[in-house]
Amino acid sequence: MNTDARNRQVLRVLLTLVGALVVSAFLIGIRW
Amino acid sequence: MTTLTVDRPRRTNGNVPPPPPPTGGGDGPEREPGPRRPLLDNVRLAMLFLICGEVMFFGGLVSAFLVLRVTAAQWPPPLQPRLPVGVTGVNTLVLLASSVAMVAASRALARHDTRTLVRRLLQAGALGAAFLVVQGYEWVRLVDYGLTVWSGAYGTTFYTLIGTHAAHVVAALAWVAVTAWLAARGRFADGRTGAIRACAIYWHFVVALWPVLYVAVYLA
Repeated sequence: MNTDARNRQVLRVLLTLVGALVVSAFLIGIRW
Repeated sequence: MTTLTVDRPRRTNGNVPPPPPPTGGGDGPEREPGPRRPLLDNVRLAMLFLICGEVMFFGGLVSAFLVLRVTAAQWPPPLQPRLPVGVTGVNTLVLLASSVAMVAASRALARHDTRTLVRRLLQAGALGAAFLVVQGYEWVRLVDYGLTVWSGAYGTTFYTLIGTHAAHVVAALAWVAVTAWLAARGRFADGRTGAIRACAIYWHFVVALWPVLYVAVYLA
């Protein structure tokens, strides 16, 4: 696996984490 | 029965090294970066980490601002000065122009044109500095009109949001100044341009953030 492919995998993990945090913040915000 | 002989250089212990792993053998083809799929190298990835953190930080601040604004009985509160929408709008164009100068700097870097690179970096920095000067002038006027950090939620959220962005512009400005100085000394002539690309990415982020804040704080 070259650097580009490995970094894209890491980026996918990062964006998943950010997305999960944003959704959690929204749900907490509306007191779900 | 014949044995397939491979003409590969032997290791120091006399053994023939194993063949290189095959590509496209079941785990999908190797995807090479194309012109529409730029290479995601370590510099870009590191900057994306930083920018994700910054986006979440500003996301929190903007959310707090919007919650306070929506729950307020009247916005802006009575007897509070109105924000300078027109001047700041022109100032927004100045900041966006600095991003154009930074794009020109990146193109000069690709052409190995050091002189143009330094000039464009300095142009971008000068436009960013002009943005800060106008912002500072408007702040002084607003404080004279009575809008301070202690003027309730209106003043607090305004100075926190806009001040945090201004602090980022100051940091980006210092970064651009150091980068221009290094470029003028020929630091990037050997093709190791990671530092300057990181600087450009950060600058574009700081510039792209401003219209969002302008619409949220000044126009909405």
